[in-house]
Amino acid sequence: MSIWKLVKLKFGRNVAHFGELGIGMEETSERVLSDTLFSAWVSSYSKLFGKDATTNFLEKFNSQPEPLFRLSSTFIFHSTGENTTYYLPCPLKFPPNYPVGNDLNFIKAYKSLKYLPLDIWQRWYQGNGFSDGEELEAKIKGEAKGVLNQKGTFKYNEAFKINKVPKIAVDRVTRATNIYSTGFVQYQWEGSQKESDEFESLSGLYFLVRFAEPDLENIFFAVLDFMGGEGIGGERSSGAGHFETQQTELTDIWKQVLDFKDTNHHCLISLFWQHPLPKEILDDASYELQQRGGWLASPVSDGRQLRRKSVQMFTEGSVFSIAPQGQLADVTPDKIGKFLDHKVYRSGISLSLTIKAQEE
Amino acid sequence: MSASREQKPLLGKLRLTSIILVETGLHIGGGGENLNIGGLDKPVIRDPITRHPYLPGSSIKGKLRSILERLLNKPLNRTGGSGTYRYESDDLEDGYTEIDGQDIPYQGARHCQLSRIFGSTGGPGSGAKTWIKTYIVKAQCLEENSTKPINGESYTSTKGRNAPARLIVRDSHLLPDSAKKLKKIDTGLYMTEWKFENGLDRITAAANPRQLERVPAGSEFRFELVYTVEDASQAIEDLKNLAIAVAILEDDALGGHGSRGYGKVKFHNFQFSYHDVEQYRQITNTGGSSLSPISLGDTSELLSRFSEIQGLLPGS
Repeated sequence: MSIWKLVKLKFGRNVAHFGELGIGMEETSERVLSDTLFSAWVSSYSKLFGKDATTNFLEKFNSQPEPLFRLSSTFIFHSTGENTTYYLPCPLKFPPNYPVGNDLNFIKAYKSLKYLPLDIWQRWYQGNGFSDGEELEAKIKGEAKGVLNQKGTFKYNEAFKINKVPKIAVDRVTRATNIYSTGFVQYQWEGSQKESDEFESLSGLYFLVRFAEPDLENIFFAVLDFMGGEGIGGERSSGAGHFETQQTELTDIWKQVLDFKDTNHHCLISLFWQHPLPKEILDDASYELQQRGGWLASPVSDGRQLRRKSVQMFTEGSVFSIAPQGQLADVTPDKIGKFLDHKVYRSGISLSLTIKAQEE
Repeated sequence: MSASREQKPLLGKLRLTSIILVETGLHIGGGGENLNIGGLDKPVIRDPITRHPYLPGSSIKGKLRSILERLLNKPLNRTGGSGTYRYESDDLEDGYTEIDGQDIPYQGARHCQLSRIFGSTGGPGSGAKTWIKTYIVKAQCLEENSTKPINGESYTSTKGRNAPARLIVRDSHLLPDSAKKLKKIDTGLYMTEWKFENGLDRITAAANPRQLERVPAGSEFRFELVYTVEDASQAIEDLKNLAIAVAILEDDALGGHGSRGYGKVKFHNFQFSYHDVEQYRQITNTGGSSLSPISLGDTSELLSRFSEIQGLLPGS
C-alpha cells in the first residue's frame, strides 16, 4: 500500500535562485526538478545523521525493487481567495478529442501551455477530453473568457516574478566596483491578517511524494523541515531559498487524479532515468530529454570542485505507454583517486500519473 | 581514509534576529530598468512584487565580510573582476596565492577566521595560481601541477577546495509599521525620498545636479542571521568576530555614499536562540527549543553581555 502526500514549500518573502544555463548567475528557473530536490534532501539527511547512515539509506534505494519514496518535481501552486490552483505539466501527447490536423486556428495558444491547472489537466487527460478550441482561439485575440481562463490556465506566470538583482564586488582598498547580476524568483505573498509580522505565501512550490512504507514519513518530514532552514537552490548564505514545509491533505480531486483507472498512458511528473531502458518503453511514447549536470557538493566531501557526470533524463510531461520506474544514476566523477569519499547519485527515480491520451 | 574526508560536523544552529533602524537616508542601488528624462539617476533596490525597498542579505553579508577582513588585516589575494581585489582562502590548507607576479600568503579555510564564517570558493581565481606545501598536496590527493620552492620549502600548484559558509544572512524587509508610515509620505516616489545633489564648478559655480533615491531615515527592517555551529571551539570566536563586525558596521555605513552621511544604521532588540542538532532530528516528535532565547537591547549590550550567548553554545 503506497501512501501519497502533497507537500507545499512556502517561501514567504524569501527569494530563491535555481540556476539555469546562462550568463553567470543571471538565469533562474521558477521551480526545482525532482533530481535536485532528492539531492537536497539527501544532503540534509546526511548533515543530520552522518555519512554511514546516508550510505546505508541510499543502498536501500538501489537494492529494493520499490524505492523507499518517489518524489515528483516541484510545480507551482497559486492561491487566490479560497481556491488553490495546482499546476501540472501538460503531457506531450494530445488529449482525447483534440482535433489533430484541424487546429490551425488555435495551435499557437495550445502550444504555449506548458502547465495546466489541475482541473483542466484532469478534464483533458482523465475526463471528457479536449473541447476548448474556441476559447483557445479567443485567447489568441486576447479575449478568452471561458472556463480555461477562470481556472487560471493562462495565469501561470502570475504566480511568481523573476527579476535580476544587480550586485557589486567592492575592492577592499580602492572601493572600485565590479557589477554583476543574479536572477531571483519571488513567489506571491501577503501580510497575514492576524499578526502583523507574519507572512502568508500565496504561491510557491508543491510536490508529491509516494512512500513505499509509512514508517519513513516522520523522518522524511523532519529532514525536510531542517532543509527549509538551510534553504534550497543557490545564494543560500545571503538569504535565498529558505522555506517552510506544509503537508496538506489530498483534496478529492487529487485523490481522483491519483486513482485514475481507465488509462492507456503514463505521464511523468518527475525526471526519469534508467539504464538500460526497458525494451518497450519507447513504443508509442512522446518525450523530451534534458541534460542534467553540474557541480558536486556534499557535506561529507571536503569541498573539492568537481563536476558530476552529466546524464540525459526524460522530462516532466513525457508520456509512455508503460509505467516508467527509474533508478539512481551513479554520477561519481571518473577522475581516478580524486573523489573517494562516497558515491554520488542523481535521482532518475520517477513518479508518474496515469492518463488517457489520444491514440495515434 | 585521511582525516580530511570526515563529515563536516553539524552541532546546531544559532539564530540571531534584530531590528535595523536606518538613522540616515540609505541607498542600496537597484539598477534602473529604463532611463527617463528628468528621472531618477540612481534608484534603490525593491521587492519585485510589493515594490517595497529592502536590504538584501548579500549587501549586509558583504559589508560584514569586508569589515572583518579589515579588522583581521587580511591580504588581498582574489580578484573580483574589473580590478577589484579582496581576501579569500584558496583552499582548506594554508598556502600562497600567486597573483600579478606576487606570492600572497592566505590562511586555510579550515581555521581562517574569515573564510570559515563567510565561506570561500576554492582557488585559484582568474589569472592566479594556488600553491600549497607539496607534502600536503600529496597526502590529500589534490591535483598536482607544477612545483616551486617558496621560503625554502617545496610548494605545488593545485586546485583549491571550497568551504561553504557557516553564516546565512537573510534579506531584511521593512517592518509593517514602517511600511505603513512610508506609504503615506509624499515625495513623488513610492516609499522613498528623492535627494538632489549638486556638483559645482569652482569658478563659475555652474551646477551639475543629480538625483538619488534613498530609504528615508527612521525606517526599520527585520534582520536575521543564522550561524551553523560546526566546531564548538571556534563558535565563540566566530560569534565574537561577528558581534564586533556588527558594532563596527554601526559606525560605518550600509549601502552607497557612506562618506556623505548615507546609510547610518543601528541594530536593536537582539534575540539569540540556539537549536541543537538533536532537536532537528526529533522535530516531528517534540519541537521547540529547550533553551530560552536571550534578549539584548542594543549593540553595546551585545558586546558587554557576550558571555551569556556563550552559555547557549555547546562546549561552554
